[in-house]
Amino acid sequence: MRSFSALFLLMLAALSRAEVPAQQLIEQMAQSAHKLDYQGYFIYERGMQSTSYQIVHQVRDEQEKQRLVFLDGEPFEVINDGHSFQCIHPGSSNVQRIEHKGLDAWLKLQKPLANIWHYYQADVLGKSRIAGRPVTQIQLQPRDQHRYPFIFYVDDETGMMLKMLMLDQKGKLLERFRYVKIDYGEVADSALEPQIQNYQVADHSTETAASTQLQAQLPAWQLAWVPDGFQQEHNQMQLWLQDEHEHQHQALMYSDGLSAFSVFIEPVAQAGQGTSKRIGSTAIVSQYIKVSGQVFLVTVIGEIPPMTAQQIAISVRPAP
Amino acid sequence: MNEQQQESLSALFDGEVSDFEVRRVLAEVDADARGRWQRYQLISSAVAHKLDENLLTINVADAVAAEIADEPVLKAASGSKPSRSWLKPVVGFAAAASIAFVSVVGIQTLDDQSPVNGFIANGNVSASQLPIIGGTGLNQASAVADINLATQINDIDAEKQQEQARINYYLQQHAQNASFNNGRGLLPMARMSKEEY
Repeated sequence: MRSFSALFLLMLAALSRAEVPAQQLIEQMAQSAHKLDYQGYFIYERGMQSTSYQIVHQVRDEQEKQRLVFLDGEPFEVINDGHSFQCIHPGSSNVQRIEHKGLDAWLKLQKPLANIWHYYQADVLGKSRIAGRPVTQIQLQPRDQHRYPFIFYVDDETGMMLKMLMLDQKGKLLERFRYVKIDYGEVADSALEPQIQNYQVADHSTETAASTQLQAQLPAWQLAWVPDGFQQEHNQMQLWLQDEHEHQHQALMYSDGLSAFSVFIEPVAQAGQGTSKRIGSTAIVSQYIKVSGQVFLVTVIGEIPPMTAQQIAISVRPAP
Repeated sequence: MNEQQQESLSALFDGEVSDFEVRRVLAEVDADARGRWQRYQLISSAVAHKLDENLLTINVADAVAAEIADEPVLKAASGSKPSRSWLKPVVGFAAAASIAFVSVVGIQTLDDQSPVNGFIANGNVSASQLPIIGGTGLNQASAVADINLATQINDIDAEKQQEQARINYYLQQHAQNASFNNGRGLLPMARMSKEEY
């Protein structure tokens, strides 16, 4: 009996040792995407949909700059200049510039992923080849029902993720990213310039001032429940504009280091019908709540199971 | 919950109770147990392929409002201590003419074919007793849709457009958030893509 227990313990030790390299590869992968200069092309697929992209990534003095070009359909580029995202499409004043705190974001990215091992089990599945490069295939199996399994294909030389599968809990493929070509090595500044011509960046300072005045009228919200391991990354009042109409809302954003979800709460004129959908791995759940006579639309969007998104949606409460 | 209720609930979960008993059990047990039962129903439907990608519609407005009115405000979940950073406004734009990422507003498919949903819908359980998802909610939604179809048809385009713009804006915001927090760079931004086949 004793020898049996000893054997069991030995097996357990062997198992946990086997898990360590897989974890290290994932932790290294999370860093590599932000530390290397690279240019490449990847394909993103979900359901019947398949779209292709060009990506350029440059790091100078710990400052990340990126450019993502949507190669299919309407011309569209996203540029992250280290301070803001610019969403660029052809035509004048059609640029969306969203400021972000560059340094904060960078520091956040340096935050170790160590915590995620409470929520995912990592296993090396084997070796393969993606975009002409040797890779190691690693599976991340969630330890609860609130997140999806991943399979990553990590470049053996650089640690970059070259392919990612997101599956549902039954193993059905939800979405797939995969590089078809990637080149490492110094990226010139010119590669970060948008190819789309005739665009200008709008100045949103007046809208910012207006939204400051409106803040006070809105209650702040919080979540009474989030799945274990999801940490709040943002909590701010925001404004979106449509045909001169201001839509002020609160945005709460959470991440467990791999999966993320966002909750938006916006006052609306009247209650409509809530929805619950899934597109690829993205759940979109909305519902209406009424507080002090005012109807609010609560929308949860995230790469989490719709059931979990629903649980989050119903846990929205006015902050005390 | 007492032992008898626990047993009733188990029977309910196993699908071993009659229509009448379902109503009785649901009336007796607490909200937590009802919630569990509803989630179980949803999982059952999903397993039976009744719940597909675009298939589920919930209508819980009044129910949740009532629940909130009655409930003491809960403390925030651990790890999400209230932050005051929301005081800083951020301006984003979702011009209707801009990027239509994904067409999420459209046909709302209702699944009220499942026998379990069916008999609950005919039962006496009110929407406020079933705050999350259930046959009642779905059935009610379809009834509302029928009544309003004629009157709303003119407004529907404008409403849809606004809903689409809102979802697109939210998707974009979420993609940006995700690209900061998941260690995969701008890749999540690809999720904003318009559907191309």
